[in-house]
Amino acid sequence: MRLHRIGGLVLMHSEEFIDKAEMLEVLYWWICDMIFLGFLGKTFGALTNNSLFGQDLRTGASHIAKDLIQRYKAI
Amino acid sequence: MISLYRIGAVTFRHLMTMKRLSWFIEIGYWTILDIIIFGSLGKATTMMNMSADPAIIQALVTNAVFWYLVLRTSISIGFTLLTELFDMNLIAIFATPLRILEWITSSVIVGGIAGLINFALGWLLALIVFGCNIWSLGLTTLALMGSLLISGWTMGLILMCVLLFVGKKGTGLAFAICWSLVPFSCVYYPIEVFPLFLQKFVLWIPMAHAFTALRSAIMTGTNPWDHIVTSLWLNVGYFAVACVLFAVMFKRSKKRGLARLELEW
Repeated sequence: MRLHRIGGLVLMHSEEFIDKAEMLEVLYWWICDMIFLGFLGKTFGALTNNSLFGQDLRTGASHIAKDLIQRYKAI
Repeated sequence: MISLYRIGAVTFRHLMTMKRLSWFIEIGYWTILDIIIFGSLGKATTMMNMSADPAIIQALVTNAVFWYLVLRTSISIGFTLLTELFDMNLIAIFATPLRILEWITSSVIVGGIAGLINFALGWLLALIVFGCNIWSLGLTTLALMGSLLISGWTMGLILMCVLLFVGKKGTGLAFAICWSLVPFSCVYYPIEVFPLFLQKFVLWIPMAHAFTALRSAIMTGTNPWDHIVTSLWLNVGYFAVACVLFAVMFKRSKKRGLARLELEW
């Protein structure tokens, strides 16, 4: 096993990444994904509004509490 | 004179390359992945927010299936040219009496068939995994299928124009060009998400109208014919421009020599 042979192959393949077209391709997908995921996040952030979710939980919890009190009183 | 026999022969030649198990695995893999991801995202939304409309799952899954119709059509058109380049066959086919219009017609047919196969696969998956029947929308489904098929053809022709300019080096571009319009086509989110300046630009994209119409039909149950008609008109216009652009690009590329496209890598 020769380190310089491993190094030679690594260098050969890493030179592909230094290629301008290769860099542009990586940059392109990154920008595309950032825009896409940004808008997707905005949409689903609004759809799964945390305050609304919390409000639903609180409303549900208070209904259950009221129901329990009424049942307790009935006993 | 345009020969149907020659169009049929070129179409058959490309359909034969699709008759492989690996081709079906490839289209199936990406379709399954996206349908599961976006269907689950819709399900998670309804679970996290009880007041969210459950129709969102159907909207997301249906839009993903329709998006694959556009994507597969355009990629398959681009791949008809790439296949010729990798097989070193481009010069050979133009040494025959085959005309450019016949070649384009066959590429468009091949793209359409591939897109429809992918659409059928997506429809089955959506039905089996999430219980969403795309055909429940009736005539709207058919109209949008037609409109989005033209979108796929237009993108495919633009992709071919780029490949005629850069040759084999543009293989990576085949996917990049087709995906470039996803963020702006309102496939998975409504047009209102964009900033105002971007909304003006997005309104010129026919797919944005088609997907808005689809989402509206599922969520509200109305038939948004205004969006469908706008998308159809825009699609027809862009398709005509893409055809002219392709003819010009082919002429210029032929002048520079088609052989360079096969050799450069």
